[in-house]
Amino acid sequence: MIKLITFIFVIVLTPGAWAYTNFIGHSYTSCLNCHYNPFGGGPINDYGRAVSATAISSDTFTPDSWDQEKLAYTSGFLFRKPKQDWLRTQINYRGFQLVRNPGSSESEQKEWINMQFDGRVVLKFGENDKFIAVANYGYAPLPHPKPPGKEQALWRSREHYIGYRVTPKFGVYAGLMDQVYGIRVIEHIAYSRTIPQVAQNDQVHGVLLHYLGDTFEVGAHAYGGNLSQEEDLRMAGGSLKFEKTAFSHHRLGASVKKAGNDYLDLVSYSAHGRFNLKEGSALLAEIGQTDRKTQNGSDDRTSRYGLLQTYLRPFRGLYFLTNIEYLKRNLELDDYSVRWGPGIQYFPLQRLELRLDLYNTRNFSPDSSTPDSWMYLFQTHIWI
Amino acid sequence: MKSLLLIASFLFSTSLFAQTVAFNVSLTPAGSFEAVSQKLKGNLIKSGGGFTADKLWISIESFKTGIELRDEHLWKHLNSSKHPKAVLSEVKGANGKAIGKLTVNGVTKPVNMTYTDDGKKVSAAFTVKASTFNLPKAQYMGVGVSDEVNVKVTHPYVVK
Repeated sequence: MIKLITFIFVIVLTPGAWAYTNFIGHSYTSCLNCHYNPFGGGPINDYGRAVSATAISSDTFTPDSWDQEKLAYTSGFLFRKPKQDWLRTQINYRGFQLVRNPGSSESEQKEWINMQFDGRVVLKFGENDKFIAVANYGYAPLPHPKPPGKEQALWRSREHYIGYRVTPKFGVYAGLMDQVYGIRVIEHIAYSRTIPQVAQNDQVHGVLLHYLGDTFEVGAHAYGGNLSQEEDLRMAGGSLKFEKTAFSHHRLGASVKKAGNDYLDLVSYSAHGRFNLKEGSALLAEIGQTDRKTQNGSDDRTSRYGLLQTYLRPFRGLYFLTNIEYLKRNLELDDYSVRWGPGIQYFPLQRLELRLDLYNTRNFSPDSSTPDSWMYLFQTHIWI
Repeated sequence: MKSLLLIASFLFSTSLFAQTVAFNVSLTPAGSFEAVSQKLKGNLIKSGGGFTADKLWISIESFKTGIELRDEHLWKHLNSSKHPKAVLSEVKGANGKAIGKLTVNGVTKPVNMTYTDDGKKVSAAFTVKASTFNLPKAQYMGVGVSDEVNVKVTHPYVVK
């Protein structure tokens, strides 16, 4: 039983390779500066790699003879400046130590989990890389609960898509991608990702339109579900996300999503804000609601969730994190959950991220009492 | 409530400092960054209903963007080694509008500004095109900058 619970934590509560949306604190309002995917996640471009080396990662351990320019140009694959313009590659590894009930002599559980091992390839052509093809293939644990129907492989495509920037402002993308919805925070644990089903294993095959205005950004995503699933299980539908720059440095946005299969229909909507606190620090906030309707009516409910995250950067390479989440799984009931915890994210040198997160979950119910759950994750992320 | 107001002012103000020059640079394909300096020098004088300043200047290398390498690129792009200062001269303003001459990269061009007066300091805004100051097109690893730059200047004044 403990193994099963541990497995659930691993799959559902694990940070993965998504966008670092807090980088609005470095005044990057749009993900497109650093990612090939206009809404973030997946492989980063040359500029993104240079930013990660010169702004995100500490330079404490780099040789004194290296200046920032050299750091930027060694951020490429295998520490080299690319010799051609059309191919980019990246390898990612993420693993972590999961500790449940830390400090308890009776029930402390420790386990090392290999969470992600990806190879990423990007082909790009044309002026300003207007044509791109992205493939991301690798290892990831199977989702839990295991989806019914076709078995997923441990090694599988995490995303594969092509993109065409018709103009610098307007782009069309097609293939297997993350759904466009809300703040794509790195924590798959987040209620704001799991409740509307836009988390780690919810990629879909579809077409994404992206428009980038001077002070706003909009994405429209139409999809037929994940084609690797059996047809009756594919969550087909669409989502829409809008973000507007506010007070020069911040972003306010809203999202809506409608998707369903033969057994389930979901309608979700959310509002969010990403706030630049200057010098790399940021505040992220999102509130949302998901209406869930099942075919036989056995599990219909409306859920409401909230997310508040702060990233405070005392100096280059280090971020102090605070995460507060709220979930009311069924608005007709009085029960609700609050999850909170501090964290530390440290990039001691380029290509290496170390992260420690502590999570406390408390369930509030007028009818029952459950003990708080505690866990921490110590994560290692390496990319080359 | 005071705490909330303090947080709000921190979030939504360009700067809490009086002598500030900030300019917003739009990136292509997306995004923007702000370069800020609190080291504007010179005297701004209020006389009658108008404002004048013979010369306001700022060191190019006092501008910070939040990223060290980006700072270096900015200074280099503005040719700070050869022209270390940006100068706003012959400023005359009244009724919320002002004119002056801006010198960057050794090139002087007239600028039209709008401003507000909060009783202690003036906040002025104007837009310039980098190319008119003979500044080359900037491009770094696929990311470029737009030619048009929005500038905000905040400076306290003395009344005569």
